[in-house]
Amino acid sequence: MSKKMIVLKSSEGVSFVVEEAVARQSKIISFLVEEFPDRELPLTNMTSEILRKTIEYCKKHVVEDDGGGDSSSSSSGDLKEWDVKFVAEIDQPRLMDLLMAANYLDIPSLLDVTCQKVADTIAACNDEKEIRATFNIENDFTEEEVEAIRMENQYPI
Amino acid sequence: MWWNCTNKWKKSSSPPCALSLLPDDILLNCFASVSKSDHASLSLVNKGLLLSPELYQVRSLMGCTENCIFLCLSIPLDPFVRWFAFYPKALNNPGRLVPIRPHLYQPQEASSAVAYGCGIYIIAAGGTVQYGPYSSVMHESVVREGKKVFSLNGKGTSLVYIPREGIWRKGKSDAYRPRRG
Repeated sequence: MSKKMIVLKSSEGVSFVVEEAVARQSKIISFLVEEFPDRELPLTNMTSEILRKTIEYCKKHVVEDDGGGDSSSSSSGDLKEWDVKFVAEIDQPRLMDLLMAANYLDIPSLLDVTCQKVADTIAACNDEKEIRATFNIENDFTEEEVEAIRMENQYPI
Repeated sequence: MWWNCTNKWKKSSSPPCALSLLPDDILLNCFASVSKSDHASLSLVNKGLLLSPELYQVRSLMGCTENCIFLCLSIPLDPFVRWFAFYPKALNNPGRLVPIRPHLYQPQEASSAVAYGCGIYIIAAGGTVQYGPYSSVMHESVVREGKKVFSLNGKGTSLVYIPREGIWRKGKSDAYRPRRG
Protein backbone atom coordinates (compact mmCIF):
# COMPACT_ATOMS: atom_id res chain seq x y z
CA MET A 1 0.00 0.00 0.00
CA SER A 2 1.43 3.36 -0.97
CA LYS A 3 1.99 5.83 1.82
CA LYS A 4 0.02 9.06 1.82
CA MET A 5 2.18 12.06 1.04
CA ILE A 6 1.62 15.72 1.86
CA VAL A 7 3.32 18.87 0.59
CA LEU A 8 4.88 21.49 2.86
CA LYS A 9 5.96 24.82 1.38
CA SER A 10 8.77 26.95 2.87
CA SER A 11 8.94 30.75 3.04
CA GLU A 12 10.97 30.75 -0.18
CA GLY A 13 8.22 28.81 -1.93
CA VAL A 14 10.15 25.54 -2.06
CA SER A 15 7.89 22.47 -1.84
CA PHE A 16 8.79 19.43 0.26
CA VAL A 17 6.90 16.19 -0.31
CA VAL A 18 6.73 14.33 3.00
CA GLU A 19 5.07 11.13 4.21
CA GLU A 20 2.03 12.08 6.25
CA ALA A 21 3.16 9.96 9.22
CA VAL A 22 6.44 11.89 9.29
CA ALA A 23 4.77 15.30 9.13
CA ARG A 24 2.13 14.38 11.70
CA GLN A 25 4.72 14.48 14.46
CA SER A 26 3.92 18.17 14.38
CA LYS A 27 0.64 18.66 16.19
CA ILE A 28 -0.03 21.74 14.08
CA ILE A 29 0.50 19.91 10.79
CA SER A 30 -1.54 17.00 12.10
CA PHE A 31 -4.42 19.40 12.72
CA LEU A 32 -4.01 21.15 9.36
CA VAL A 33 -3.92 17.83 7.47
CA GLU A 34 -7.30 16.93 8.92
CA GLU A 35 -8.78 20.37 8.29
CA PHE A 36 -7.36 20.80 4.80
CA PRO A 37 -6.76 17.37 3.27
CA ASP A 38 -5.10 17.20 -0.15
CA ARG A 39 -3.88 20.75 0.10
CA GLU A 40 -0.33 22.12 0.07
CA LEU A 41 0.51 23.56 3.50
CA PRO A 42 2.38 26.88 3.41
CA LEU A 43 4.82 27.44 6.29
CA THR A 44 5.59 31.07 5.56
CA ASN A 45 7.75 31.68 8.63
CA MET A 46 10.09 28.75 8.00
CA THR A 47 13.03 28.88 5.64
CA SER A 48 13.78 25.91 3.39
CA GLU A 49 16.91 25.16 5.41
CA ILE A 50 15.07 24.96 8.73
CA LEU A 51 12.14 23.08 7.21
CA ARG A 52 14.60 20.56 5.73
CA LYS A 53 16.24 20.06 9.15
CA THR A 54 12.85 19.69 10.82
CA ILE A 55 11.78 17.07 8.30
CA GLU A 56 15.11 15.27 8.75
CA TYR A 57 14.41 15.08 12.50
CA CYS A 58 10.82 13.92 12.01
CA LYS A 59 11.88 11.23 9.51
CA LYS A 60 14.28 9.79 12.05
CA HIS A 61 11.70 9.88 14.83
CA VAL A 62 8.68 8.59 12.93
CA VAL A 63 6.89 5.67 14.55
CA GLU A 64 5.69 3.35 11.82
CA ASP A 65 2.76 1.01 12.10
CA ASP A 66 3.99 -2.17 10.42
CA GLY A 67 0.76 -4.06 11.02
CA GLY A 68 2.09 -5.85 14.07
CA GLY A 69 1.81 -2.77 16.28
CA ASP A 70 3.72 0.48 16.47
CA SER A 71 7.45 0.34 16.07
CA SER A 72 10.00 3.09 15.90
CA SER A 73 12.47 3.01 13.03
CA SER A 74 15.33 3.16 15.58
CA SER A 75 15.96 1.98 19.14
CA SER A 76 15.72 4.66 21.85
CA GLY A 77 19.46 4.45 22.58
CA ASP A 78 20.30 4.98 18.90
CA LEU A 79 17.83 7.85 18.73
CA LYS A 80 19.38 9.66 21.69
CA GLU A 81 22.81 9.31 20.14
CA TRP A 82 21.46 10.53 16.82
CA ASP A 83 19.77 13.52 18.52
CA VAL A 84 23.02 14.58 20.19
CA LYS A 85 24.84 14.46 16.85
CA PHE A 86 21.94 16.22 15.12
CA VAL A 87 22.02 19.29 17.36
CA ALA A 88 25.83 19.28 17.65
CA GLU A 89 26.13 19.85 13.92
CA ILE A 90 23.89 22.93 13.97
CA ASP A 91 25.39 26.37 14.60
CA GLN A 92 23.78 28.64 17.17
CA PRO A 93 21.65 30.93 14.95
CA ARG A 94 20.18 27.91 13.18
CA LEU A 95 19.66 26.14 16.51
CA MET A 96 17.51 29.08 17.63
CA ASP A 97 15.56 28.93 14.35
CA LEU A 98 15.04 25.21 14.80
CA LEU A 99 13.92 25.74 18.39
CA MET A 100 11.41 28.34 17.19
CA ALA A 101 10.24 25.94 14.46
CA ALA A 102 9.76 23.14 17.01
CA ASN A 103 7.75 25.54 19.14
CA TYR A 104 5.67 26.82 16.22
CA LEU A 105 4.97 23.39 14.75
CA ASP A 106 4.48 21.90 18.23
CA ILE A 107 6.95 19.03 18.07
CA PRO A 108 7.64 18.40 21.79
CA SER A 109 10.60 16.02 21.41
CA LEU A 110 12.45 18.39 19.03
CA LEU A 111 11.73 21.25 21.41
CA ASP A 112 13.24 19.25 24.29
CA VAL A 113 16.35 18.40 22.30
CA THR A 114 16.95 22.00 21.18
CA CYS A 115 16.22 23.45 24.65
CA GLN A 116 18.68 20.97 26.14
CA LYS A 117 21.31 22.09 23.64
CA VAL A 118 20.82 25.73 24.73
CA ALA A 119 21.17 24.64 28.37
CA ASP A 120 24.34 22.68 27.53
CA THR A 121 25.77 25.72 25.74
CA ILE A 122 25.13 27.87 28.84
CA ALA A 123 26.65 25.20 31.10
CA ALA A 124 29.76 25.06 28.90
CA CYS A 125 30.42 28.77 29.51
CA ASN A 126 32.91 29.62 32.26
CA ASP A 127 31.18 32.73 33.55
CA GLU A 128 28.51 35.33 32.83
CA LYS A 129 30.83 37.16 30.40
CA GLU A 130 31.14 34.09 28.23
CA ILE A 131 27.36 33.54 28.33
CA ARG A 132 26.84 37.15 27.16
CA ALA A 133 29.40 36.76 24.39
CA THR A 134 27.96 33.43 23.24
CA PHE A 135 24.39 34.67 22.99
CA ASN A 136 25.18 38.30 22.15
CA ILE A 137 23.54 39.66 25.29
CA GLU A 138 24.23 43.19 26.49
CA ASN A 139 25.51 43.71 30.03
CA ASP A 140 23.08 46.17 31.60
CA PHE A 141 24.38 45.83 35.18
CA THR A 142 26.44 48.46 36.97
CA GLU A 143 29.40 47.25 39.05
CA GLU A 144 27.46 48.04 42.23
CA GLU A 145 24.52 45.92 41.08
CA VAL A 146 26.83 43.01 40.25
CA GLU A 147 28.39 43.28 43.69
CA ALA A 148 24.94 43.32 45.32
CA ILE A 149 23.89 40.18 43.44
CA ARG A 150 27.14 38.45 44.33
CA MET A 151 26.52 39.28 48.00
CA GLU A 152 22.98 37.98 47.68
CA ASN A 153 24.07 34.74 46.07
CA GLN A 154 27.40 34.47 47.80
CA TYR A 155 28.91 32.36 45.13
CA PRO A 156 32.62 32.61 44.48
CA ILE A 157 33.82 35.38 42.19
CA MET B 1 17.70 30.91 43.58
CA TRP B 2 14.70 32.21 41.78
CA TRP B 3 14.29 33.48 38.29
CA ASN B 4 11.89 35.49 36.29
CA CYS B 5 12.51 34.90 32.64
CA THR B 6 10.57 37.90 31.50
CA ASN B 7 12.66 38.12 28.37
CA LYS B 8 12.81 41.91 28.43
CA TRP B 9 16.38 42.08 27.32
CA LYS B 10 18.10 45.26 26.36
CA LYS B 11 19.08 44.41 22.86
CA SER B 12 22.44 45.20 21.37
CA SER B 13 22.52 47.38 18.29
CA SER B 14 22.97 44.38 15.97
CA PRO B 15 22.46 41.52 15.60
CA PRO B 16 19.78 40.92 18.24
CA CYS B 17 20.39 38.54 21.12
CA ALA B 18 19.38 35.07 20.01
CA LEU B 19 17.68 34.27 23.29
CA SER B 20 15.64 37.48 23.19
CA LEU B 21 13.66 36.08 20.29
CA LEU B 22 12.41 33.11 22.28
CA PRO B 23 9.02 33.17 24.01
CA ASP B 24 9.16 33.33 27.81
CA ASP B 25 7.97 29.77 28.40
CA ILE B 26 10.56 28.35 26.01
CA LEU B 27 13.29 30.40 27.64
CA LEU B 28 12.21 29.04 31.00
CA ASN B 29 12.38 25.53 29.53
CA CYS B 30 15.97 26.12 28.40
CA PHE B 31 17.07 27.52 31.76
CA ALA B 32 15.32 24.73 33.68
CA SER B 33 17.84 22.23 32.30
CA VAL B 34 20.80 24.35 33.44
CA SER B 35 22.38 22.99 36.60
CA LYS B 36 21.90 24.95 39.81
CA SER B 37 25.65 25.42 40.08
CA ASP B 38 25.51 27.58 36.92
CA HIS B 39 22.60 29.73 38.11
CA ALA B 40 24.92 32.23 39.80
CA SER B 41 26.58 33.08 36.48
CA LEU B 42 23.23 33.19 34.73
CA SER B 43 21.88 35.68 37.26
CA LEU B 44 24.65 38.12 36.34
CA VAL B 45 24.06 38.03 32.59
CA ASN B 46 21.27 40.58 32.15
CA LYS B 47 18.53 42.26 34.17
CA GLY B 48 16.00 40.48 31.99
CA LEU B 49 16.59 37.50 34.23
CA LEU B 50 15.06 38.48 37.52
CA LEU B 51 14.11 36.37 40.47
CA SER B 52 10.98 34.25 40.30
CA PRO B 53 9.68 31.00 41.77
CA GLU B 54 8.64 29.91 38.27
CA LEU B 55 11.96 28.31 37.44
CA TYR B 56 11.83 25.95 40.40
CA GLN B 57 8.30 24.94 39.44
CA VAL B 58 9.36 24.23 35.86
CA ARG B 59 12.43 22.34 37.08
CA SER B 60 10.18 20.24 39.32
CA LEU B 61 7.77 19.49 36.49
CA MET B 62 10.62 18.53 34.17
CA GLY B 63 12.31 16.40 36.82
CA CYS B 64 15.42 18.63 36.67
CA THR B 65 15.66 19.48 40.37
CA GLU B 66 18.94 18.59 42.02
CA ASN B 67 19.59 17.41 45.54
CA CYS B 68 22.09 19.64 47.29
CA ILE B 69 23.87 19.04 50.56
CA PHE B 70 24.12 22.07 52.83
CA LEU B 71 26.47 22.36 55.75
CA CYS B 72 25.71 24.66 58.68
CA LEU B 73 28.77 25.53 60.77
CA SER B 74 28.39 27.19 64.15
CA ILE B 75 31.53 28.70 65.70
CA PRO B 76 31.51 29.68 69.42
CA LEU B 77 31.52 33.49 70.04
CA ASP B 78 30.82 34.18 66.36
CA PRO B 79 27.32 35.72 66.06
CA PHE B 80 27.04 34.45 62.49
CA VAL B 81 26.69 30.82 61.59
CA ARG B 82 28.32 29.70 58.35
CA TRP B 83 26.35 28.01 55.64
CA PHE B 84 27.94 26.11 52.78
CA ALA B 85 26.46 24.37 49.78
CA PHE B 86 28.13 21.28 48.38
CA TYR B 87 28.23 21.26 44.62
CA PRO B 88 29.98 18.61 42.55
CA LYS B 89 30.79 21.36 40.06
CA ALA B 90 31.39 24.87 41.37
CA LEU B 91 32.29 27.52 38.84
CA ASN B 92 35.69 29.16 39.29
CA ASN B 93 36.09 27.42 42.58
CA PRO B 94 38.58 24.64 43.20
CA GLY B 95 36.68 23.54 46.29
CA ARG B 96 33.25 22.05 46.16
CA LEU B 97 31.91 23.70 49.30
CA VAL B 98 30.53 27.08 48.29
CA PRO B 99 29.79 29.63 51.03
CA ILE B 100 26.29 31.07 50.96
CA ARG B 101 24.87 34.00 52.87
CA PRO B 102 27.61 34.44 55.49
CA HIS B 103 25.94 37.45 57.04
CA LEU B 104 22.75 35.72 58.03
CA TYR B 105 22.02 36.29 61.71
CA GLN B 106 20.87 33.07 63.22
CA PRO B 107 20.86 32.61 67.01
CA GLN B 108 22.76 29.43 67.67
CA GLU B 109 20.96 28.56 70.89
CA ALA B 110 17.43 28.30 69.52
CA SER B 111 17.00 27.71 65.83
CA SER B 112 16.02 24.99 63.48
CA ALA B 113 15.95 24.62 59.72
CA VAL B 114 13.75 22.88 57.21
CA ALA B 115 14.21 22.46 53.48
CA TYR B 116 11.17 23.09 51.35
CA GLY B 117 11.00 23.58 47.60
CA CYS B 118 13.91 25.77 46.53
CA GLY B 119 14.38 27.24 50.00
CA ILE B 120 15.79 26.51 53.40
CA TYR B 121 13.80 28.08 56.19
CA ILE B 122 15.62 28.92 59.36
CA ILE B 123 13.44 29.40 62.36
CA ALA B 124 14.74 30.86 65.61
CA ALA B 125 13.38 32.28 68.87
CA GLY B 126 12.45 35.95 68.57
CA GLY B 127 9.83 37.97 66.81
CA THR B 128 10.77 39.13 63.32
CA VAL B 129 9.40 37.35 60.32
CA GLN B 130 10.90 37.23 56.85
CA TYR B 131 10.32 34.78 54.07
CA GLY B 132 11.98 33.42 51.00
CA PRO B 133 14.79 31.02 50.25
CA TYR B 134 17.51 31.05 52.86
CA SER B 135 15.56 33.66 54.81
CA SER B 136 15.28 33.66 58.55
CA VAL B 137 12.06 33.53 60.47
CA MET B 138 12.38 34.23 64.13
CA HIS B 139 10.54 31.42 65.85
CA GLU B 140 11.43 28.37 67.84
CA SER B 141 10.79 25.28 65.82
CA VAL B 142 9.76 24.42 62.34
CA VAL B 143 8.18 21.45 60.72
CA ARG B 144 7.16 20.61 57.18
CA GLU B 145 3.86 18.93 56.60
CA GLY B 146 2.47 18.30 53.15
CA LYS B 147 2.56 21.51 51.18
CA LYS B 148 2.97 23.81 54.18
CA VAL B 149 5.75 24.79 56.55
CA PHE B 150 4.71 25.35 60.16
CA SER B 151 6.63 27.45 62.60
CA LEU B 152 5.74 27.13 66.27
CA ASN B 153 6.75 29.07 69.38
CA GLY B 154 6.50 28.34 73.09
CA LYS B 155 3.49 30.60 73.62
CA GLY B 156 1.27 28.38 71.58
CA THR B 157 1.11 30.55 68.48
CA SER B 158 2.15 29.38 65.07
CA LEU B 159 2.95 30.70 61.62
CA VAL B 160 2.11 28.82 58.47
CA TYR B 161 4.17 29.37 55.34
CA ILE B 162 2.44 28.57 52.08
CA PRO B 163 5.19 28.31 49.46
CA ARG B 164 2.81 28.54 46.50
CA GLU B 165 1.61 31.93 47.68
CA GLY B 166 4.97 32.94 49.13
CA ILE B 167 3.47 34.28 52.34
CA TRP B 168 3.45 33.53 56.03
CA ARG B 169 0.11 33.52 57.83
CA LYS B 170 -0.66 33.59 61.50
CA GLY B 171 -2.19 30.37 62.67
CA LYS B 172 -3.70 29.06 65.85
CA SER B 173 -1.80 26.85 68.25
CA ASP B 174 -3.56 23.82 66.89
CA ALA B 175 -2.97 24.75 63.23
CA TYR B 176 -0.33 22.07 62.91
CA ARG B 177 -1.56 18.55 63.33
CA PRO B 178 0.98 15.91 62.42
CA ARG B 179 -0.22 13.09 60.23
CA ARG B 180 -0.57 9.75 61.85
CA GLY B 181 0.48 6.41 60.41
